[in-house]
Amino acid sequence: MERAFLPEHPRLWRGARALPPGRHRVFAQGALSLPLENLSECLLPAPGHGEWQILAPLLTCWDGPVLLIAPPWIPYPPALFALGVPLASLLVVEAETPPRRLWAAETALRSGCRPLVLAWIERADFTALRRLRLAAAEGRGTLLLFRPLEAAAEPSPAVLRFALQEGRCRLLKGSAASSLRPA
Amino acid sequence: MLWLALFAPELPFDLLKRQGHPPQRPAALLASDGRVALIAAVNAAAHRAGLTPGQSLAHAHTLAPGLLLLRRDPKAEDEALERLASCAYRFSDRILLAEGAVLLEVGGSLRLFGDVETLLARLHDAVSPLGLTLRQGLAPEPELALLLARSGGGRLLDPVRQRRTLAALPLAAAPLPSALVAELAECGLSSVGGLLQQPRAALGERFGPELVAWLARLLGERPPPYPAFVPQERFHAALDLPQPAHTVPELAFALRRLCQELAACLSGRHLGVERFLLCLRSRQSLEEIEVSLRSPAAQAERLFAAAETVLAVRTLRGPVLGLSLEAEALLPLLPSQGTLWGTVEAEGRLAELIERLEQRLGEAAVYRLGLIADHRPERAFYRLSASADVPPAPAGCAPAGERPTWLLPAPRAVAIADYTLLAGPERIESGWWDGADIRRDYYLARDRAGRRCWLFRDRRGWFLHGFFA
Repeated sequence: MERAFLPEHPRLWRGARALPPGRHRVFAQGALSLPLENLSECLLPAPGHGEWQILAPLLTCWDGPVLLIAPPWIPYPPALFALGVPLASLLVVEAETPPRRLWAAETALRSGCRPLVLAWIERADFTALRRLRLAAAEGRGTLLLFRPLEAAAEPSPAVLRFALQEGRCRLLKGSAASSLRPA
Repeated sequence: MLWLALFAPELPFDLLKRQGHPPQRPAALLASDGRVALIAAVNAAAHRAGLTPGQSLAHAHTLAPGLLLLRRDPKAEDEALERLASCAYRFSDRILLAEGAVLLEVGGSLRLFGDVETLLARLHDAVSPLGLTLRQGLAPEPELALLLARSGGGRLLDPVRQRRTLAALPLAAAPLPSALVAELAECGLSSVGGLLQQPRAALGERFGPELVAWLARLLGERPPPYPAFVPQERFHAALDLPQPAHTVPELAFALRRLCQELAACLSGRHLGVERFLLCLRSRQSLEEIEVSLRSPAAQAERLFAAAETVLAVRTLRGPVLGLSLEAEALLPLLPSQGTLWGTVEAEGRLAELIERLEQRLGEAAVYRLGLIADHRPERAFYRLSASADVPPAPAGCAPAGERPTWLLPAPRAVAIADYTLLAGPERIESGWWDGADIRRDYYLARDRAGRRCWLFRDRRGWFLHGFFA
């Protein structure tokens, strides 16, 4: 199901609208609702298909630490600054192998500082993903994983899964409250 | 004046428990004098099996076949008492080290803690991580407190009024040579009361000056002879493993124990450590591993987490027989600065997370990003340490045109035929002053996959530099 995604100038979407805490504990900003204290997946054919269109508005409203684990390239500060992303709360973690990335994500989720963890982990099996989801729930952190589009065929415990391609997104899995609504 | 004596009656067996041997296992201490091996002391499990001090080794083995035999280790015992004194340092400014016991003057600290019960409760909490069985004696004189502790524990706060209690204390518990105690028993003197009834001079003539001196100290007529405890500027503790360890998880018990002891001793003196040394002793070698922390710490969990993270990435060179922990620089612990209302704790947790990530992945792998006012795109930002604060954006940082959200670590040469140019050029010409000058025309382009890219052309050709994603 194709849905039009965020416009290309996230500066228009500054207001935060948080839904009342309910079963899904969702964080809403503009058209994106990200389930809190849970695992979500963003699947892309390759990096560069529009991640920051989701991340920039999310980060402008996120209060607390944000960890970027193994990002494919440098999150470019001048662009992020212009979009209103608070650089002071970003922490970049470089880890070469998938086990180290999984470890870093889990450690961050369980650390007790309730972070938003954005992790680029190509290969992760169902058990590892379930472990991360548990870590998010127990540590009260929120995890958004970026994975290749091929992973759409694999089962996943993520409560929200969407695919990004050329700036357009497609919902793969998720209930009504935790879905992407039209802009 | 009020003195508290902490006596450890089972010190050799407490040290055995510290190493990880289960307390249910019968154990006995061997007497070190004479050629015949005799049992000098037994633990509770051995006592239940029927062993008593004075039995021969052969007899003991028939009663308890799985008996563990120990010899006295005075050095380890002294270290244990020093650790006890370090933990108790918070409660007294005058600590003496006696044989198997630590004496604290607590009268001066009473007002700080309110009353004796509170002080004793806090002291109990402070020393419990050491895992020692202790008997307490409380009296106005240190020698009397020691005697009380050695005879099972108790209080004698007013020796003048409580004359009868004083008189009933047994001489067998006194820190006197056992030969002297036996001689006194033969003469019918088995309690303090008996001694007090005799004239002092006659006692001195018959039994020697040591007894008279001890009696004088008991009554407060002479000062105690025990050396004062001087806190060391370094910490050292060692542990032998009950079985050789082949993998890192097998070291966890001993490591946790050592970290708890370090934490207890540091807390007692309001100090912390920023780095410590772990030594793994195997048959052939001694491996030293340094563990460092981002800020001085005194909590056992934090020290243990740091040590575990550092050890987790290493493989052991050989089976490890013993573990020791050494800390050289003990730094004062400052209360953490921070904003109000619970964010102090959150900041502390984030700092600990950064510490763990850096220890496992390396310090260069965890960083924050800051801005620089420079026209050259690859120089408009910098990496700074994860625990540093990102300074606010300096003036002049806003670039003239749109910038991509992803920047490649280095520009990548590409074939322009694969791209469709959408907008541009934006000329960036800069850096003539430091030799890294650039003259580039930047364009917004679309690649074959549909991504929006940041390309530039300079005298060498076309390059991909980033993505607008």
